[in-house]
Amino acid sequence: MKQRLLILLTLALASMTAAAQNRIDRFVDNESTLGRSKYTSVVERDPDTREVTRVVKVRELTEGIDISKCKEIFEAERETGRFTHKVEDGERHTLILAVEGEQRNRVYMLQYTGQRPMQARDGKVTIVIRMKNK
Amino acid sequence: MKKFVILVAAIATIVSLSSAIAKSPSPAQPAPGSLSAPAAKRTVFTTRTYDLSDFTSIDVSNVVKVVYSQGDAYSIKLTGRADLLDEMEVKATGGRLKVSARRSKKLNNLKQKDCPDGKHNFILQLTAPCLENIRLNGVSTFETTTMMLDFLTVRLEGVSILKAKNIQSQSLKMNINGCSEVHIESVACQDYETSVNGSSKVEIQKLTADKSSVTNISGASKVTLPTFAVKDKATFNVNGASKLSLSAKDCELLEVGFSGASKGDVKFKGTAMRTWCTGASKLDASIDCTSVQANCDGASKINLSGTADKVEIERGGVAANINTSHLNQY
Repeated sequence: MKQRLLILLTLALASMTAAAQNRIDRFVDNESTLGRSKYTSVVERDPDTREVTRVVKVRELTEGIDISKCKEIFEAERETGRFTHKVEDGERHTLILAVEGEQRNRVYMLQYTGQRPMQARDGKVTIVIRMKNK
Repeated sequence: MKKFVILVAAIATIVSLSSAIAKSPSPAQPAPGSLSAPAAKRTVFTTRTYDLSDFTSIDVSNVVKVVYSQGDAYSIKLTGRADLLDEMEVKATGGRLKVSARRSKKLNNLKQKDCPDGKHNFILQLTAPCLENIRLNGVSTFETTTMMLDFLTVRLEGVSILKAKNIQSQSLKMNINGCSEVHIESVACQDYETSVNGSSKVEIQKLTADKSSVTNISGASKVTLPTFAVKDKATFNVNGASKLSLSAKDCELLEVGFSGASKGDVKFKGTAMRTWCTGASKLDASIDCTSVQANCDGASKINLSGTADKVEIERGGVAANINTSHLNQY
């Protein structure tokens, strides 16, 4: 009985972590925003084994509404990993969320300029996925 | 026991009688050329042979089915209703075999029983060493098994159909218009160029091109290429309300563009892919390649899945949508 409970608890925790990661991933992967935007993704591989070592995804956000929405998601997910919010010159914001996983570590970074997210500019979300033991 | 045997015998008799009735031809639908009712006249079909040679092109109009086989000697046989053969003109001038109808109303609205195959007014059995140009008009059909040649140009208009099993040519150019159809099992060539317009259909089960290919699809046409391999560069432009279903591999560069309300279902395994969608077009692409470049504008939608080491996507327009939630998922 105890074992079952433990398994259920582990599964529930794992799904919660996955869901937390997925909210930012989903935002970056599903381009359904207003205005122009740009998305790039680069996969780095081990030249010998061709196995994936690192994946970098960058999505540029041009509209304030997107930046505001993204910031909300970052704030909501801050408990799922190590979170920092740095402000330079009163308007250059950098939000970083680092999530450690069993097989890979993920770093999410949101950058924008502006005192309020709704009026912000030069927004950019970067996701770095680093495979462990690679 | 006796009663049971009588019952089984009676059932068997009824079943055999009813199946015999069902098998007998219906008086309302007589088989082509057959005499099904005492009052009906039997349609007499005749085959006429033409002694023509030195042509490399064919131009067919009216409702004719051409059955072509590549061979060393020339042979032309036209089969049709005996009294209608004079209404057709078969002549070879300037390297071109022309099969057309004279100005006559006799060929209009022929019934099924007046057609040798139940569909076409005439059947042309043709043997020639090489046919580099095929032009069909009206409601014509061209059927062949294997064609091996240097150049092949096909132009279909009206409600024409081209059916082939195997075509091997240095260059293949097709211009498909109207409500025409092309069904080919296998094509092997160096260069491939096709323009599909109107409400046409092109289906090539296996297509390999050593150099390049260009396919322009417009109107409400449909192109299906389930096994497509072009070594250098393959370009597809899909417009209007057309559809493209493509499974491409071993390609250096695949370029696929959609506009209007066109749709695409693309599977690609190769080096690089460049795609763009405008208007209200939609692309579902499953990829396994080194790089992808995508542009999405207007109210178009792109769904990308699979893997690509380098991805660049630009999105504009108010309702454009690019979904990469199934791309590079690590």
